[in-house]
This record gives sequence, structure tokens and C-alpha cells, in this order.
Amino acid sequence: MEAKRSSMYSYLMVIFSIIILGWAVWAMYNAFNFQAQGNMDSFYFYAAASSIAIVLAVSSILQMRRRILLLQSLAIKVLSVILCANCGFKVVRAFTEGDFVYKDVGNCQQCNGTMRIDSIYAEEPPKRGRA
Amino acid sequence: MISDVAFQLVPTDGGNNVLGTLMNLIIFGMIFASFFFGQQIQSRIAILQLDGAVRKLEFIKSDAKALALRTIREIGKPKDDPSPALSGLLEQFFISPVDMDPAGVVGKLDHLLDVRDLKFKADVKKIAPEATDSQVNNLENLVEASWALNLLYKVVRHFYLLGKKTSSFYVILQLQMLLPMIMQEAEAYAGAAKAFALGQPVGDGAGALVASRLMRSHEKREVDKDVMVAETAIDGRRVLALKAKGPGGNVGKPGDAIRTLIEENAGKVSMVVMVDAALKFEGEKTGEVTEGIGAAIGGPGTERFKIEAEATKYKIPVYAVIVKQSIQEAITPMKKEIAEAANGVIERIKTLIHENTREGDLVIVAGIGNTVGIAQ
Repeated sequence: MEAKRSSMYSYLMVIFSIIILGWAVWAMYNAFNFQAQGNMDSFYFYAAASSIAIVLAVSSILQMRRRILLLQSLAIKVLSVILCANCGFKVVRAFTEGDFVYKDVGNCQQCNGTMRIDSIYAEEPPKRGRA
Repeated sequence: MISDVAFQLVPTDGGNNVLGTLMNLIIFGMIFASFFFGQQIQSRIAILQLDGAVRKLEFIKSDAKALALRTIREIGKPKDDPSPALSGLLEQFFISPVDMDPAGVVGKLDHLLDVRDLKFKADVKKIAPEATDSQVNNLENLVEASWALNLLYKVVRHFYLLGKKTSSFYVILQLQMLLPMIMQEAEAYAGAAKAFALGQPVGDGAGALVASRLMRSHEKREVDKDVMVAETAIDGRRVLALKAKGPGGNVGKPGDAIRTLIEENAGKVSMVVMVDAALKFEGEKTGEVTEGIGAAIGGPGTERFKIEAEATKYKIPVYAVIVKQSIQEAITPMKKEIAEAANGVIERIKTLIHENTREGDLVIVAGIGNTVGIAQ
């Protein structure tokens, strides 16, 4: 729940930073327009404000990107692989407290043999974009 | 006129442009500031960064302690409030034996480690009276992870405050340079605390997983304190597979167990194969299996010493098969690549045994590592 709230906050921050970046680009465009018109006061004001906004927005986006990547890496799923000792029927489910490797977890649906946890491992969420 | 222009980075229209003049002043001010106070500015920025890191470490440490308390209350059902006792446990320390005269230092260290382990376990049992042996082992590991985080926090805070107090650029800089690795380690310990609280296998258990696969459906016995052994056969050779007693978090004393097994068989052991998790270099693949020579076992070195001494006494070759992983992967829930490497390790062991021993020979296969979440 906390991780979900945290990633929501990160995405909101990214959206806010993108809005600021958009404004900064518009302000820079205006600054050049003012320079062309010879209005140097407005040019300096817009150029300075736009430069500061670009630096802040880019640094915020980069920081949030790092945070989102970290949150994604924390969102690992731990799975228990259950195998039937008799027929090899395999079930993969989320790890539950009390699971351990070679724990008997009931009978097989196929052959009524003993179902046993064969391995427990953490699986990372699939990576998007570049590997 | 020339000098007027030379000191204008931004045109000021002969002083009429106020904003231009102001910007010139700011830019020159910044150049002077970076020229004369560059190091102090850099220190301030580093201190700000360290301040954030110390706060984050404090949060991680408190989170791990809260998790330990919650788990102790859930599993151990203590009658009294366990928090003062837990705080006491987190402040415990260990004094290594004097090594100015190194003769016998391994025995002394081994003895002190035994005392520490027994005391730690007894203290955990005291604050979690209803916990089973296996749960006590997991709780002990959980408290150890919290202890490590507490120590890490205190060390980082010490150097941060020292750097701030003395305004020493170099103390601050050193801490800042190490910060990414320290934070990685702290996050790994936080992951380890969660894994131990839930009893999930960790990457370090790769060796234990391999041994458990060899031991499966064979009769087991406790060969030494907290170490289980089972006899199996590979390619007509007798194989004694051993691992720490699971599924609670435990590493056992494999050195003592291997020594006992060799003595029980009057030294007639053809080879010892040790399987363990090993640190990979950055860029190496997690779960990669490689083999080498020597006793593959971490820790303070006492167990390795015993194995090497016994192997030398009877001239027994010691082989090592390792599963590569990072320090973070070793103490957080076991990754799929590591779990899948177990079958590859067994194939390597079979090849080693086939190539280096004859039918009827006796081989010891030791699965080293924390056996949390892995039974035998």
C-alpha cells in the first residue's frame, strides 16, 4: 500500500515537472521574441526564469525516474513452485508465510500423490524498454 | 570604454538597464564565490546530501526494528513488552580475540563466536518464548539484520557529525564517496529483514538448496550441532551430503561436521566438494556456476580453517562449486536465476565426482550457506 502511494507520488511529481518544463520552453521562446523586439528587460527576466525552471524540472524528472526504478525493483514477487512427487504436476503460486522448500502442501489434483514445495524464488517484474 | 565592456557579461546599455547590471553583479559574485569558497560550497552540498542519507538510514533502521518487534510479538507471544530487550540486543557488541600472538587465535575466535551465538539465541528465545526452534532461528537472523542496520546508521551518523563538527572537507568527501555502496547495503539488509521475518530462502542459500536436493528422500541424521547429513550415491560412489539444519535461518558449523565425517571414516574420503554462493563482479551474470579449488565458505574464517586443516591432515582434495551473485542478492529473497542454478551445480558435482574418483569411493558434498526456508 505504502509502495503504491509512493509510486503515485513519483508519477505526480513527474507530471508536475513536465508541466514546468513545458512552461520553461514557452518562456524561453518568449524571451527570444522579446530580444528580437529589443525589449531587453523582459528578455532577461524570461531567460533567467526559463533557465532556472529547465534545470529544476530536468533534475526533478531524473530524480523521480531513479525513484520509480527503485520502487519497481522493490516490487519483486516471491513465488512457491509446488510439484507432485508422483506425476510431476506443477503449480506456481505466491509465497505464503510458513512455506519452505520440501514442505508437504496436500494432495495432487491429478493423481492424489503428495504435493511438495520444490523451490521458492523471487521474480522481478518484466523490464520495460531497454534491457 | 574597453574596460567597461570587459566587465559586462550582459549588455547594460550604459547603466540604464537595471536588470542587466544586476545579472552582471550576480554572475561576478558567483565567480568570486566559487573561486574563494568553492570547497566550502562543495562541503555544504555534500553535507546536505549526507543529511538526507542519514535520515533515510534512520528510517530504514527504525522500519527494520519495527518489523522485528512485530514479528516477535506475533510469533513469540511475549508476556512483557519486548522492545527494551530488543533495544539491548541491537546494542550488543563483539570483541575479537587479541592476535598479537597469533598461535591458537582461531580456537579463541571460534569459542567467542560460539558464546555469542548461544547468548544471542538465548536472548531471542527469552523475548519470544512461544517460538519454535526454527522460528527462533529466523528471529535471530531478523534481529541480526536489524543489528547490522543499527550499526551502519550509527557509523554513518558518526562520520557525518564528525565532518560537520570539524568542517573537514575530506571526512565529508570520503563518506560521500562511499554513500552509494552504503545505501545499497542498507537496502539489502532491509530486504534481508523482510525475508527472515517471512522465512523466505535467500540467495546465500544456494549451497543449502543443492545439498537438500541431494539429500531428498534419504535418511538424515544430525552429524554435528545444527548440521544434517544424508548418504546418497552418485555414479557408484558413496556421497555424504550435508547442510545446515533447516528450514529456520541457520548456517550451522560445517567445519566441525566435515571434520567429524572425515574422522568417522578414518580419513578415507576421496574428495570434498563445497557448494556456496560467491560474490560476483559487476557485469557478471547472476546464477553463473563456476568451479575451483579450495574451501568455499565465508564468515570469519574459523570453519574454513578447520576444513583446510582436516583436508591437509588426510591429503584430501577440496573442490569448490560456486553460484555467483551480488551481496544484495545474497541476503534478499533468492532470485529465480539462483534457484535454477541448483540443477547446473548438481551436474558439475557429478562431473567432478566422475572424473576424480573411482567407484566405491567416499565423497563429501557440503552445501554451505543460510538455510532459511529450505528444509532437508
